[in-house]
Amino acid sequence: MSTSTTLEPPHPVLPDATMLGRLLVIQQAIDAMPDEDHIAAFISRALASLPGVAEVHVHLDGQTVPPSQGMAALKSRCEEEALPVPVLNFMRHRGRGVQCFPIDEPGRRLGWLLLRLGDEEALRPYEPFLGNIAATLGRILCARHVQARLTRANDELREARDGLELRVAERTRELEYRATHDPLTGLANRALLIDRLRGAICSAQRDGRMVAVVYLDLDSFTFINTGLGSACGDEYLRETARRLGRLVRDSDTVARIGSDEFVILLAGLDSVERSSGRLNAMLTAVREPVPLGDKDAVVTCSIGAAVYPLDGEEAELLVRRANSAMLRAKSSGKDGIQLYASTRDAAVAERIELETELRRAVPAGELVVHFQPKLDLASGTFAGAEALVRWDHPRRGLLSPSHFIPLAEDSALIVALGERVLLQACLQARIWREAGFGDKTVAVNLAARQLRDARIVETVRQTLQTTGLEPSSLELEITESSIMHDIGHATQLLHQLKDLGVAISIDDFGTGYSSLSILRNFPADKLKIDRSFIQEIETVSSAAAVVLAVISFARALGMRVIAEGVETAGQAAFLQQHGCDEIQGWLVARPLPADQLMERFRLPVEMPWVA
Amino acid sequence: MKDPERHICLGFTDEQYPAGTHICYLYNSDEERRQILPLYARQALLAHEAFNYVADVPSRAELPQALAALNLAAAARERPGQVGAAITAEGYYPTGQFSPDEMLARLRDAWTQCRAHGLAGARFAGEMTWALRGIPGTDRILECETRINELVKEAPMTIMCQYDLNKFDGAMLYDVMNAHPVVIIGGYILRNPFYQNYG
Repeated sequence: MSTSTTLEPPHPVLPDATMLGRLLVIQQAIDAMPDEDHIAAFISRALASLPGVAEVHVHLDGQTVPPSQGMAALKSRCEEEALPVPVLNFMRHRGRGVQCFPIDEPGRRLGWLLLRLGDEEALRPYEPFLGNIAATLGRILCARHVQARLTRANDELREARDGLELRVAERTRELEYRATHDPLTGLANRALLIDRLRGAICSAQRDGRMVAVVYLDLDSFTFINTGLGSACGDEYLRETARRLGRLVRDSDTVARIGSDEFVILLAGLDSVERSSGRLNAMLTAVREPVPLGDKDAVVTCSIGAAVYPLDGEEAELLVRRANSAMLRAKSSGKDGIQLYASTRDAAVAERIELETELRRAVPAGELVVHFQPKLDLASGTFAGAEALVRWDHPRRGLLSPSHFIPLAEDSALIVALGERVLLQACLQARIWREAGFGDKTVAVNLAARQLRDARIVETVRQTLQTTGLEPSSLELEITESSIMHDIGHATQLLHQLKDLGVAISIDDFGTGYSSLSILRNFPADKLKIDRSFIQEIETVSSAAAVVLAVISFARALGMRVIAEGVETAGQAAFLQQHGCDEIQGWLVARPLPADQLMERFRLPVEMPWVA
Repeated sequence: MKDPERHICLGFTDEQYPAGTHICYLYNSDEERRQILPLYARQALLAHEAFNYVADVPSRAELPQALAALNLAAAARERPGQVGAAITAEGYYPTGQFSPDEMLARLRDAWTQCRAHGLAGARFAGEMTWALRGIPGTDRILECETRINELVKEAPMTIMCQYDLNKFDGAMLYDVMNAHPVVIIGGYILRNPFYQNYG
């Protein structure tokens, strides 16, 4: 440390370089400290290492509390005597042994740097630097306050901007939605329909597929509006929209383009035939009663359809042509379907017409059940009969299953149809029992789609309960192909049916691709050899070999075997000779109406093939 | 025996510092720390020194990620004798209690091993936030930091102690700073005028 040679006044103490370094580092550190608490604690501790300092307190209003009564009193004195306008870097003596320095930002006092001194003279060389520290502290805090305000303002601005963007986006979406949707039903409007139709046509063009434009107009809808009021009319339209919406796939579009006019766009079709079931489903869905207040409103509709590319390649044109087809459906008596070019494809029109009629035929009781007897070869008596459905068509006469079962299987109609056949067959079997034929069983076919219906087990249980038929008198025939799609599900389902007490027969056996090891685990009671093998049993050795193998396989698993389509005595003789249990076919009896069947049961059975 | 004084590059400043510098790194954010530490570690490898890192992560499973943040993942795989990593429980209180004697012994062992492997020196970097978790013996950290200044005179390893300004209070930071001859604060490296060399 250097000394001065001046005599008067007494030598001032010169600042020590290390101490000055510390004061500089303190200023540096203040800037790095994250907040006021850190700053206050750090400075208090650091300044206490200066010579002559007994106690330090950085008082920041609202942030720190004086650590001692002495400091609290010093702070109060500073505040009482503070000038109205803060002056930067202004040091105040508040008596012997204390120092205070204001910490200010422009126009505002932030606090005080307060020191209690042990040796005033030792500190004196550093007093200006302490003032600098207080001023630095004021500047840093001021800068941080400004920064915090800026950050807050920035946050508020960002929040406001985000909110505005969100509102603009919402409003844009809302406007877009309004411009493209029907406000009453939420369906697409004409503009969106045309847009989607154009897109669907492009895709269909690329993929070689078809697009159906279905124009659906409610018949006599004005009666709802005038009779029940427009509120009921609106609700009716909303319900119709919901029903139509449930019938289409995600890739399709339902639009409302007029008061009671809907257009449904069915995209990506493989063929026109595949859409006929869906058109009928729309007809049926609209026809279902709609509860409006205390009334059930029933309104039918007329449907017209035009198909890309058969009826046109331009969106507006297809809609116009579907509309003209719809008008033809109206003029043909309403509640019907017309294709724009129905004359060009009679098969399609025929199919649509037949399916429409079939939907009416099921509830109208036009389906009748005939029964084909089955002969037990060991006893020479009838074991029972298989229920076979026929359609007693009012114009076309009695139709065999091949005319309408494929149609029904393409839609859910097969489920209702199957349930009706099951009920009639069980009722008939109950009648046989009452008539003394309690040992006869009735066999009923279950379609693949029925097996996929979750209610099938309950339906069978309910039917047995309703009709009072012993479960052992019912045999359910399930085709080999229908169970092979989903082995796991089929096995589980057959066990549930078996648990009801009914017998299971595997129909058309030999025509599918069953793995014998899989069939081994099925709870089946009987195998029914397909007629195609029986027909060739006498002429084709491989057919005979298959029949023998099936009989042998069934025997090994403890199943019975029945052969269907037996038409000659030679076939019957072969089957009897090789241990087949039952036969069924024209040789024994043709399918008979229920009332003739019991007469047949009473007659003796002739078995001319038996020597 | 002390080697002739060797000067090293710390990586984040052009100024050369003697090997055996004990640095207090007061950082304000992980982002700031991630800028400084990889430079420090890279210079260790370039100078053929060992680099040992004590990371404040919950388990060893997170160590590879901690090393990757320092761009040391590949080096740790390829030079296992030169790059080491440990979690704070292993590096500071393997017995469950922090002991300056044991800490200094571990540092000395590490130094001896790195010299035995023919490396030019050793650098350490350790995160200190664990000291706020109530580990027994934490009250002896200042004692340990002070004694490290003596240790590095005979075993000149470069040690960087990292303290988070946001987590330690101001008074503690002041005391910690006092125990280090070199301090990094606000991104500046300073020869610490508060350092009290009792030795």
